[in-house]
Amino acid sequence: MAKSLGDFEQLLLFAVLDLGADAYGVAVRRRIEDRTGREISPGAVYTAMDRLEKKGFVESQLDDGVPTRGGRRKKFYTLVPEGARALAESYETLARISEGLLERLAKAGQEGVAS
Amino acid sequence: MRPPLVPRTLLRWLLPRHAREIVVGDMAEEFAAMERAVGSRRARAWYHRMALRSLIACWTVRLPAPRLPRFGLDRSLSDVRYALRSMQRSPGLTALVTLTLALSIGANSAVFSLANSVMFRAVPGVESPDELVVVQFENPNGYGTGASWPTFLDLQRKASEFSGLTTAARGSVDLRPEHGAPARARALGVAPSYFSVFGVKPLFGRLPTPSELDPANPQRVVAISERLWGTLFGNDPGVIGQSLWVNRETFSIVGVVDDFRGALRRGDEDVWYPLGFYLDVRYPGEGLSLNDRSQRMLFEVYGRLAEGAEVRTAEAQLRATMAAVVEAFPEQAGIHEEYRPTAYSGIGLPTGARDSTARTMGLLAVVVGIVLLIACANIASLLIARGLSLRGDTAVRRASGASVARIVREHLMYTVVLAVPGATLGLFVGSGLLSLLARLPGGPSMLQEVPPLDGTVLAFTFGATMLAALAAGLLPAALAPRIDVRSALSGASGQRSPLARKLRSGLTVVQVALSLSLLIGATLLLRTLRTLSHAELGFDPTAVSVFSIDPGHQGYDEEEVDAFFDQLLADLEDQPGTIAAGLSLLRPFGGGSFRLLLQREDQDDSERVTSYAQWVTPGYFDALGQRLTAGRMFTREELDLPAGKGGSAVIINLTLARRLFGDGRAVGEVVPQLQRDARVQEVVGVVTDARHRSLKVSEAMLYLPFKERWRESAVVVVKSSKPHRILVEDTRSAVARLNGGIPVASAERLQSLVERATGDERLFATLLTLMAVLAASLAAIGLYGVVANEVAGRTQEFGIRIALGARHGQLVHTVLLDGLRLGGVGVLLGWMAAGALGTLLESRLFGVAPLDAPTFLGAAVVFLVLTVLATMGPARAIDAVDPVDALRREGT
Repeated sequence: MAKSLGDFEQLLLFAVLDLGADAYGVAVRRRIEDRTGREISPGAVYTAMDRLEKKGFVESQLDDGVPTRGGRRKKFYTLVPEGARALAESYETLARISEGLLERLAKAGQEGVAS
Repeated sequence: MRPPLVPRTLLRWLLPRHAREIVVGDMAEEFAAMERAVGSRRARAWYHRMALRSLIACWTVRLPAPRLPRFGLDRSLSDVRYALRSMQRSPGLTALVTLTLALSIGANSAVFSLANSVMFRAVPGVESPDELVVVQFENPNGYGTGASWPTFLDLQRKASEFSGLTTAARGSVDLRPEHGAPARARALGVAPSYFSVFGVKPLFGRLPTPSELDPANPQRVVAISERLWGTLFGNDPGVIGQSLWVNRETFSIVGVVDDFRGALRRGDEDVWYPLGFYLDVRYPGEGLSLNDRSQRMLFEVYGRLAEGAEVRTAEAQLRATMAAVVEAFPEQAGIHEEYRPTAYSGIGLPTGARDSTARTMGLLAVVVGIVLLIACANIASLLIARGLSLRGDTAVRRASGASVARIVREHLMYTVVLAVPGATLGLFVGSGLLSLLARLPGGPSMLQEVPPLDGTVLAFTFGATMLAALAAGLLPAALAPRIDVRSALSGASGQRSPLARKLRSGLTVVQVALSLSLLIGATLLLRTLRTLSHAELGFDPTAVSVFSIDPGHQGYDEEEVDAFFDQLLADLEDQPGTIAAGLSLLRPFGGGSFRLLLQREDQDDSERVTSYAQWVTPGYFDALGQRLTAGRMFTREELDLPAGKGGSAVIINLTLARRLFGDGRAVGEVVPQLQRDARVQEVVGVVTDARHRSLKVSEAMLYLPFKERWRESAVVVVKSSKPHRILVEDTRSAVARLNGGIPVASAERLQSLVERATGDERLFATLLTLMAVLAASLAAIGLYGVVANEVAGRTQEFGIRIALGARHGQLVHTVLLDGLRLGGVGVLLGWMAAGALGTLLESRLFGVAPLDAPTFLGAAVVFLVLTVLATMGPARAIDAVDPVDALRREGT
């Protein structure tokens, strides 16, 4: 069963993959902000990760609370094989469909500015 | 530093439970990092922004829809999402509605909760206070007397309308614990049923049992209040079993009472002992008997109504029983033919304040209602404007197949969702305001603690605003089926709904009118306060301190009491710094008074003069600065005549002299007393007026030599150059040198007593001012909204006019005139409303007329300025109108 991934979800999964054992809310959020320049809210990260977990793409684990968080626990995420497959699939789909088009895309963008 | 309180709390309350810990934790961690990196201000801004967005994300991105049945609910959820999106799309409107709701819900519930707790405070430590009634023995003029113990027993025997009837006799006493200093406190001799009728519980130890309290065989047991346990015994748990001297009687402490301090408003009861000892405690050695039907010492009778019983039927039953008692014992109980049992509910209120309290509550309810109306009008007006601006949108949806029902549902859901942040914020505003109000000067004297926000009031306020909002939300929904799709889509400006426009203008006029009337009312009250604080007191309270001292509790006889006070007064006068020292029986502005009815033989009943009596030494007049205007002061001889043997000489004030003797000479005249057994009293002097009970009126006063008094206590009045605190210490040691067992009670500056006399007025004026400011801001918001909408709707018209050569200034002028027309009509209506409010307020006003012209004019000017300001903002948008753009749009 192929479950599709939205583009925000793709960003999240790549960040989780990149961060490895350090992938929890704050780190994921910062990574995406750093790489994309998009400001996103902790609530949005949480909700989307929760959804990915329900779809079976990631697993999560709670650690013990630390004082900087007022004793509240963190939720660490790991990419599971099915998530990795889905991410690869949706990225490949995008790559296939965009093959050879990037140059034209750049040109179209310039024309758009000029008009 | 911790993240900002409000968004943090909102997150904790509003996030879905499973997300709460993780998201709040992430936010806290990031906030700390941000604070280090970019500083606290930007971190806080970030936190606010992210909290809001997190909330939206958690509730909109994916609501738990899939498992629900496929009818109704999931569609409502999509409506909720639609509503949330709409709110994001028009942040200005969302902010205005949120602000209006938060302010009105917050202020209304705070004011009402406060009023509620001041006026109808639940009596602490009492079970179901609403079932309790106070029974007083009153004549038709409202004067009261007490009942005797045998009479009470008769009443109790036949009180089937009550589940219990009880009584007590009170008085202040001197307390002496086994260890430690003596103290003055309010103590009651209580009937066996006292604790059970009130439903009082012990904090620890136990309550005296009914058999221990039985007057036929009373035991020496006593219960004390939690307060007294703290102040007198330092919260020592070993207090049970210790003995306690109450005046000259000793009792064993059996328990500390939980929370209860008596049923009167400012619960002040500290000690409860068996009624059987009351006469020994209060009137030792006078040979009085509790079983004597002529000893009417029971002024406090309380009853708990039986289930389903009414106050009036219960009262009727008491009166019937009393009639039988009067018939059986005409000599002793005959007085009750005139002074009949009268039952009152509202037990937390002070005697005699029940009528005025009801009036105050009524007035507050009117004010709160007005503010609520304004808020409702505001929200309705904003939503109508939104509905109109969405006509194009609605038309598209209709054209693409959305049913009318769905559009109506969306509008309603939008309204409901829109109210959530405002209502939530209203809670914060309400509780914040409440703690602020309770700390105001004048507030704390009435409140023992900050009351909680009243849930019922909160729910009512919220419900009322919601109803108004829903009604307003329905209007655009109702317009939906009638929208002409083509014209709406073409964006033509000509056919804006004239009905909605009129409705909005009407609402604005009503708002202006109502808030103007509140502003006028508040100003009148503030001016009253100003006049009162500058009122001619007739005396100078600065540097005057008053103390209560009661050597009678030490078993002194009258001669010893007189000697004690002579010595004390001499000591005080000798102290350095003392300017004057005197004695009086009653405390000025202390609430107590002794009333006399005077009538000359040649006067008829309608000319009766009411006067108040006070017992003084000459030093009293000196301390207060009252001057003799005619005649002389009491002579040494007159002052020293023992009680009951003299008293032929009296001094009266100017008011009484004028009322009794006109402008003629008062000195040498005889005061005509109504009582048959009254002695002949001759006026020897006339003094200047001094207000004694109320700041508002100068009352007739009659002064007698102090030793004529009927009680063995006195109020010591000292004017001294020493600071109050030091004076208190010096007076304490002066008293202690004479007798270490006599406490100096209720030491206060006279100035505070005077200020307290205006406490109620001040609180009321503060509340009204607050409401008026709130109302004016709401009206300004409403006006702004109407004008802004008007300008936006006429963009094309303005563009064309500019193209045709009109100058911006002219257009601004037009808009301003429109605004002023609304404001002007509002002011005129507001004057009428204020006239009505003024008559309601009349009894509270002093030194200012209810239709005071400067106040009315001033408030109108304030509102017209407000109108201009509210109009100028939107009118500036005219500058941005581009005629080319406007013309192009007209062409499409």
